[in-house]
Amino acid sequence: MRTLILNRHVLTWATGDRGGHLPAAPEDRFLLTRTYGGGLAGYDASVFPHLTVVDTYFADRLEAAARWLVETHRIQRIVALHEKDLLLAASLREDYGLPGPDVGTTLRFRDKVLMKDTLRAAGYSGLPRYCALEPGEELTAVPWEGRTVVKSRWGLGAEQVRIVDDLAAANAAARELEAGGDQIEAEEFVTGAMYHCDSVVRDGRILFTAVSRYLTPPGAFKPGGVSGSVVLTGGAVRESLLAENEHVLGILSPGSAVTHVEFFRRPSGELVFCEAAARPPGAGISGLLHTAYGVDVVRAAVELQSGVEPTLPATIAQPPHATGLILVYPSAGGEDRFAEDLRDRVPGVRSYHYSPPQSPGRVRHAADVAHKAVLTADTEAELDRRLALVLDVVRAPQTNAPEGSHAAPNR
Amino acid sequence: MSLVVVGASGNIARVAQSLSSEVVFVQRPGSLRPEILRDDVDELFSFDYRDESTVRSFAAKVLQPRRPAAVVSVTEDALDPAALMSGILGTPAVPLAVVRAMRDKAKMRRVLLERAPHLSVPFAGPGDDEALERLFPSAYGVIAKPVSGTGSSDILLLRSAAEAQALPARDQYLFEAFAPGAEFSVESFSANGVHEIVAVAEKSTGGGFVETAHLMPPAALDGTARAQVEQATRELLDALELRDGPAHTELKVHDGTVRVIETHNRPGGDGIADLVALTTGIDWRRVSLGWPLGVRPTRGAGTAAAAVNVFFTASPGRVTAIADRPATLQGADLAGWEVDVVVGDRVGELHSSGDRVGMATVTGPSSEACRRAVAELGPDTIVTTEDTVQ
Repeated sequence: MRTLILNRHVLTWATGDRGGHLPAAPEDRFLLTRTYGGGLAGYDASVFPHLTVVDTYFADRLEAAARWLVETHRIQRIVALHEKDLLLAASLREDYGLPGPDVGTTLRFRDKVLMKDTLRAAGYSGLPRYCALEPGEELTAVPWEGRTVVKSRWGLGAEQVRIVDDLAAANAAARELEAGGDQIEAEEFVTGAMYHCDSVVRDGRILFTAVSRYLTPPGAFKPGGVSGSVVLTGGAVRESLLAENEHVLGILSPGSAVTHVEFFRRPSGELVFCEAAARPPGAGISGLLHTAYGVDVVRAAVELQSGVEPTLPATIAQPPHATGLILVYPSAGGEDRFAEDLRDRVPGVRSYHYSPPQSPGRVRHAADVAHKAVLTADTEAELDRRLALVLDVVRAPQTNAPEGSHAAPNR
Repeated sequence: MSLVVVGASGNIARVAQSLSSEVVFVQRPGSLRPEILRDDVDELFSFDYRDESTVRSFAAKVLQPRRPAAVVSVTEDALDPAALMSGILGTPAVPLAVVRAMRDKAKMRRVLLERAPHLSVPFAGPGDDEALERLFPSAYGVIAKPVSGTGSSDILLLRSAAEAQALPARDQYLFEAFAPGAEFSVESFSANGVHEIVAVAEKSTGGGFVETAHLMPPAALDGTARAQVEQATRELLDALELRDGPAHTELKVHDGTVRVIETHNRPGGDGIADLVALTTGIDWRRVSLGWPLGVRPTRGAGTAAAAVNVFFTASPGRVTAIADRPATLQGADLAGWEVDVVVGDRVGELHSSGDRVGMATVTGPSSEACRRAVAELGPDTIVTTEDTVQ
């Protein structure tokens, strides 16, 4: 099965060790990747003999290369995991008659207005109030009170999100985002905790869902900031989120995909839809789920796009421990270092990964983290204590730290 | 604007990167380690660029929107696709027809027969059995070589028509009357049809016509003969209509006559570019790759009056010992030393350049001094083998 892999992630994360996520033989793998961001991490020519490397900053170049590869090598499947590549993959599938998520399906998970319009049209009631803005359109009034969220319809990583207090600021934010080429929507700012439901869906049937609570909203990334998630293993909140997620997916109809749906929970307990994506979750959440459930959602996504049954444990039990992920963003002063003694000083560390900041002193998006650790504990209280301990350790001055391996970007 | 380089080695990749802020590498799968790519700058496409239809679609669909400044190559099997892509893109390059006339040894012979017959030798093109019969008997035998061969591979000296008839894939061979004499190679650079002779080297060959040394400047070429060689090179390039870019031409001189062996629109291999740099100060790789961007040969102060690349050879067998790099040489300097085998490796018959086992670069105050130093070095004694029965 000749497969084109459109990759922007760390290569080993997206394709597994030695391409192990892919059901295609090495000679049938056509890798289209980038140098930046670990796109060639662990690259081995025997695993990916057909290699194309482009500067993905230029969308037209990426598309030209992808189309040429599909045509030239008679590609049969396309695998794409990064939000920015999903529509291109869908478009290629449609144009060349290939199976997998089509443009219509993909748009319902990419366009933040269309996804809400689709849910509203199906009678779904858990939506925030929102409105799409035409290019240059000025907001003169909004049908909600309080703060306003202005964001790109196509954004990702909470990068193009602005939270403002008044209409003047909302219009200024809209013009700023439009200047970057974005289409804009505005919606009410929903107060409350945020949750995410990560599912493996095969032919419309949900095979697995994990419910987790964000430690902080994804949009709250900042230098030196903290984010992360804790897995919910039971309780009424989890049950209601499972039901809400199932309802949303039933309407948005991803077909076969891994999905990542986010919700707010108002202080009143009301659940409000935030947004949905048809891809594995980023920023370490896949590692969190693997630790908690033994489910590799990245592998599952690759397998589903390859048209094969996803590899899941025969029985997926609720984890016996409290499981959490903590993300620490690069510090403002650029003094981040690998915390070599983290495992010695914090019990229950199941994985720890340090990424040297790509733009020291700056955080570009919600997944642009320096420290990423997954922990377990017997109780949620103990987990909270350990998560806080991680923060103390990674913020303490480090000595004898290894140099980072990632090159600095040119842009 | 970007520079497209086809079939680059690691060395050539680095030269390309020094020429352009963006390089698009077109490679056969696995032929270039991607670590060499500059982050978010260079691009890499790996596919079999010997397939013409693939090359055509690649140029039209992938390269055309990028509007590169040029498509270049200094690798034998990539010269044709580079010219093909250049033609489609309209970028400065040697025309495809010229490249093919130079690469296809039979075509080159036919052009030469028509336009400069005094430089050629009697030959028989692939499948021309009548001409093949006429080549025999020949005083020095008949050379059989693949029409698009490289690296001295599969070159045979035949003594009878029967031997020729018995060759497998005979229709892919060019047959030429063996030209006796000393062999030389000429590095030249052409601009608007004016051919500048950059350097001349004297070639030594071993079994199977594999090149074993290149000495620059030649020791065995007096002023008159050198002028003849240079003139012959210019006539050849005119005949083939090469107007721009580098060329590497191999000729033989015997009894005051010069015969063309072959020519290519690229610099010579075997480290000849290093000899050019050492003896003339010209960065020959950079010129050969960058000429469509306006790079021209500029003579400077070479670091040596003469230099030689000598290749180590060994008898077939298992490697049992490797001599140490000598600390000094009488009257010359050792500028480079590479051994490609280790004890225990198996060495085969010397059939092609790839069967050589190492190389040294020697510089000196004269070609004779270099030649004496090479004799002292003993390039066939560096690697010792022991015959083993497999």
